[in-house]
Amino acid sequence: MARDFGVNIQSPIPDEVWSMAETDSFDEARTRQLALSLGLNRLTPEHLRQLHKAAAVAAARRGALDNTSLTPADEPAHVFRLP
Amino acid sequence: MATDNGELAYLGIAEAAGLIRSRKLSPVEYTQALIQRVERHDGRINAFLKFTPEIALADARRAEVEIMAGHWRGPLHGVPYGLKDIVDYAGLPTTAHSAVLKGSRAESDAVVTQKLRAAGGVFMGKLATHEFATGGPSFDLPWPPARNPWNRDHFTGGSSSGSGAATAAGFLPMAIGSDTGGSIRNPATLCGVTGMKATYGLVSRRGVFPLAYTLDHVGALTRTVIDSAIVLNLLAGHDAADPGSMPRPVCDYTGQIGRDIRGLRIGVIRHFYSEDMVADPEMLAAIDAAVEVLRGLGAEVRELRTAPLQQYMAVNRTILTAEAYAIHQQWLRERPQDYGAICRERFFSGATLGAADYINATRLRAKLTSQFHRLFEDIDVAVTASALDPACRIDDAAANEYTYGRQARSPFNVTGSPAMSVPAGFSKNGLPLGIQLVGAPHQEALLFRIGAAYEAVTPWTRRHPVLA
Repeated sequence: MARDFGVNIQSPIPDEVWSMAETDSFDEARTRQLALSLGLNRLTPEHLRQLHKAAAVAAARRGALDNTSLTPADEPAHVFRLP
Repeated sequence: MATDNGELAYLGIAEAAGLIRSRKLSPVEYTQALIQRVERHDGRINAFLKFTPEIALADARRAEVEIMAGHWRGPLHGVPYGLKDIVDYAGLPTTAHSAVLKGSRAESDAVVTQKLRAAGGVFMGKLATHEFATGGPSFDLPWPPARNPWNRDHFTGGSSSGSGAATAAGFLPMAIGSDTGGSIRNPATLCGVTGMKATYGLVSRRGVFPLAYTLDHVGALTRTVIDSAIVLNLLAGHDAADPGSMPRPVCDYTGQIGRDIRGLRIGVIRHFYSEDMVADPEMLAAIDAAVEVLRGLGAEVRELRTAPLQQYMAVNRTILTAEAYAIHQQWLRERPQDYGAICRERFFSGATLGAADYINATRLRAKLTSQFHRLFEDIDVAVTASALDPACRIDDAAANEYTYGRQARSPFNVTGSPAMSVPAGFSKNGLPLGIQLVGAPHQEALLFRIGAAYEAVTPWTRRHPVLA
């Protein structure tokens, strides 16, 4: 199932990775799976702990975005413009 | 003619310019005095990453010859300055305080550097920053973090940490910094100096290592409001090679200083620091007291509400980390060990964001910006907190992490509004407190007018730290 972003756009990262990132318990193997999915294949165990924490921080920020207030007509702050 | 080292250390740009122009102050003697001060004290403050006294003396000698020949270039002529070490100075490294860029060398000057050199400024060196303008204070980098001159056991704020420390310590009357989520205004508040982030696009970012393209601003830290205005007069202007630069005429930003503020409508965004996040009692009291000073000067003060602080913060941090990760992705894949722990972790948070998160944050940014700018139909200037807490101990990692997000500066990177931190007192243990003035786009001159009026009737900018 795709993650609900408030609009119909799907995340490229599997849901089980998101749910792992949003919990407090650190699982090195699953975090390494997340790292590999991101192309981060040179991370030490210390780096993986940081990635795990960072993913939780990002999830909290994502949760704080008030996407429900957006309508399809609300465009990004910077849009493509010809010179 | 020179006065003693202590007096010269805290000479402002406006005063120094007058003395230099009238040949009562030698740029060489002024520079030598500041060089001696840096040599005596910076071993304990760590404001400089690369101190360049030989360049400074050459610049000062050139300025002196020109001025003696009657060729005064303007108020920065013969005046020392420093650059946050994400700003290019041709021929010198731009390290961003990171092992990742150790050994790099800038091929040309940043636009702000070009302007300062053309104005006859005296370059004193490159200043400490949080790693890549985000990760700090860190003790696992090739250079130590800058320390707060008011108490070196405490944090400077960041990320323009060396710029704040050097200005407060009397090493320089002005230092260039950058501001993506508050990085000029935070060290300005915590070090007790003035920091202006002008309207997005007013000052060129070309030649400054980016943190987040759509949020980055370049500006100055000074000790007084008028000095900030003088520097903005020099830095402001369209740069066709900076995609974010605004093709718009600039004005004399000192032009309104000295005018009274009677009848100006000031909106206080109190819910940011009293409801959304509750400020430290001493900071809250200082802001409330500053508002009363403005009321006493004749401003019409009312409370103002906008979206909750957390909404602005979520938008700022989502955009910031997504754009920063895009810049650092390859290095983080190939050499993650070359980053300090704090910076690496902060950039990692951008790695796990989806494209939709970033795009939705920019959509919310457009809405928040539009809503915020509409408030200025009923007010002239907004006042709110900058930092919510005085500087914590620099070695207290938990306190640094806790206070990192406790601030009301990021909203104005989201909206691109001009915003200035001005000193507003001291805590019981002698650490600086500050307020933030925020304007509608391109209303910098009005902010300087109000800031200068406040500064004139309060003693805060006339106090200086005692360096052991």
